[in-house]
Amino acid sequence: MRYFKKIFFIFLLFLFSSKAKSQTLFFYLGESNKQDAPAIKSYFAELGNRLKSEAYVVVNYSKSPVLCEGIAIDACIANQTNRATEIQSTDSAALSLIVQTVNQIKNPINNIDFYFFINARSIQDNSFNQLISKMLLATNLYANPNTSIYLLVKDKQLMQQLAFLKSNKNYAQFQIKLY
Amino acid sequence: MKKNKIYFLLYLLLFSISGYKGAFAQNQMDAQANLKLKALYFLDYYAAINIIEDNDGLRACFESAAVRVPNLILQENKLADSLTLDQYVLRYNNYVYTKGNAPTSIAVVPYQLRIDTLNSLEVNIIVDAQLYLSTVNVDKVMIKDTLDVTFELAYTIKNKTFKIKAINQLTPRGKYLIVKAIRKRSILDGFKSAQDTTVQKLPLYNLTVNGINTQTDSNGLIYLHNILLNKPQKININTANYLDFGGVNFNQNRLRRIYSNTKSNSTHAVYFRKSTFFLEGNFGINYFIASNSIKTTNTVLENSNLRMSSKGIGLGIYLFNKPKWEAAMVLGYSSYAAENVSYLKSYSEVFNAIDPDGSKYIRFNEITDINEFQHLNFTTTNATLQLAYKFNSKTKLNIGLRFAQKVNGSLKRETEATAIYTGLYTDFFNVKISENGIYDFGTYQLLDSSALQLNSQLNFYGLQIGVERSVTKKISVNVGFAFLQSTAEILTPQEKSLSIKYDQIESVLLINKLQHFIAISTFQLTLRYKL
Repeated sequence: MRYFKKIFFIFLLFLFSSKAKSQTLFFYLGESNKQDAPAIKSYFAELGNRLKSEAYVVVNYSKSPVLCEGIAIDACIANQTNRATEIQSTDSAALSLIVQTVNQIKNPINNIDFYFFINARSIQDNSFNQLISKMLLATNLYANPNTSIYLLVKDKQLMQQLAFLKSNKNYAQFQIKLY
Repeated sequence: MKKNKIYFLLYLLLFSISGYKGAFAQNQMDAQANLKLKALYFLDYYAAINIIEDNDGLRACFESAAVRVPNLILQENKLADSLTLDQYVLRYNNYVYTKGNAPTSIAVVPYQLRIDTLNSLEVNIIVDAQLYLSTVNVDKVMIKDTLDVTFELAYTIKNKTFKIKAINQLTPRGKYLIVKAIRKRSILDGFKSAQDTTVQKLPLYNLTVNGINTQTDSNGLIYLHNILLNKPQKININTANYLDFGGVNFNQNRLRRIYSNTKSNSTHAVYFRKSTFFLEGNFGINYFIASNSIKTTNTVLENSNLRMSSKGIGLGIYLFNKPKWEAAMVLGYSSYAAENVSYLKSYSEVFNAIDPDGSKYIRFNEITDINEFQHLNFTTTNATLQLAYKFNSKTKLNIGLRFAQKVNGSLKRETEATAIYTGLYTDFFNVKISENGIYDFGTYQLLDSSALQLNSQLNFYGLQIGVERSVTKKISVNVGFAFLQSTAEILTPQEKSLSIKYDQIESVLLINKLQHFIAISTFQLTLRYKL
């Protein structure tokens, strides 16, 4: 009985050490975000090391998307910004990388929040909305109450243009913030 | 030590089992995620090929020609229809390629995905999605709608290909109606159709649809979606602009008539106009003594206002009506009434006279404390040029310049005074008689009244200022001040004697060639009703 208690204690320790994590921040930087590179750089510079250690950024500025993570994300993003090319990979390649990464870091309580930097170009058609829907469906996080989608905007006027999201079934997941 | 080894081994065992299970689960998750992504990319492919001239490519997305799809030809406005693939392709080609309409762009935004494995050869995937449809109709109007659909997909494992087995609308979508907001600038505009390019469209115009505030787009259009004709419909469109009039009510029959007219392209014009005319009624009053209705050039005569009032009606026409400024001309009829009192402290006359017995004497007429009450009434026709500055859609400052002409009028007076008549007989030892009882000498309290003849030609000019506030869309109230002055004397200046007979007295307005003008100043309340 004494051994059983100890084994049970070790099991619980193992279970919680592997699964109890704080909120993970997942960013995506696509073609439309290139024009806001300086502002985005400032945003990450002010993020703080604790949040950076829990952050992942998929940067899709060049021929193949790159995953930046941890406290070195500033340097990684700066590097990708410098290496930005005219021809870049499709959103689908970036989406595959996002889905693959999310499925790896995902845990039972799914405490991942997604962050997208929005400008007028990002929402000129439905592709941004489609990208998010595909990502959430492929990662089983669609309408998940523990998963929020933060839309970061520089311009207050842009907030009104995001009203189209109200027709989304997962509208409750969306949060709009100024950065 | 032994115990520690056991713990360590147990920990390793748990870790490895968990790790193995984790790796297996991860692989399974990745595979499923890949399949989901592929299915969603396939739907993107289907959406993309729908708008290009590749019937074979489109057909290849479907399992068979009998697969049922919603009617996505937006221009047809029959979104509730379910067509077979063959019917759809035939009608789509006819509508787009033969008739020259733009193809319909489709964007699939999925919101639910379920994977059902049927057998080792085929996987069934169900995707619930919103279809964002958009196109441009023959009137160059961008039309959009959103359908809620379920895609039933079959994935063949061997060939790694997807086929659409069905596209079902979750709830069949009703029709849309495009409403074009038009500024009616003249009567002729009211006969123009929505397709007429000479009309003035109203972009970003505030209106209400069944009481709910909405705004037209940059082309002056609003879309009413999901109109179901199988139940009674009432759609009320009204302007939310306080300065405008206009709107329309649609019922079921009216909507059917619009849809049956193929030339209308499901578009209907709704006219909004600014007010052209208005009726007004006003009432003014002034009890303030400081302002006199009759002004006299000579200050010896003191005038005091007892009461001034006015009332009038008018018909106004807006000369222009801009967002901040407006000008109007008001033609009207007004009547004025004034109660005035004129006071003259004393009046004296000395002249040679002959008494009833034929004796000569010098007559002294001393009249004091002369109070004359005047009742002035006159009516005018008037024209007022009015300029207004709008603080907001409901409040404005009005400044008006009025020109008026007297139509008719009357001036009645009642005069009270004390008179002392004295006679000095120089031929009879300078006897001075001022006692009552001898001839008409003595002291008398005079009270006399008469009507004075106003000048027949009498013109006026005036100024009006006030703040107008809309009470309802049609009715507004203006509170302000109005001033009206005659351009000439109201009475022909005369030099009459104040004393007519011993018991009669003339009006103080008719002595010493005094000039008298009318000056009516009132606090005015005006009610306007816009037409």
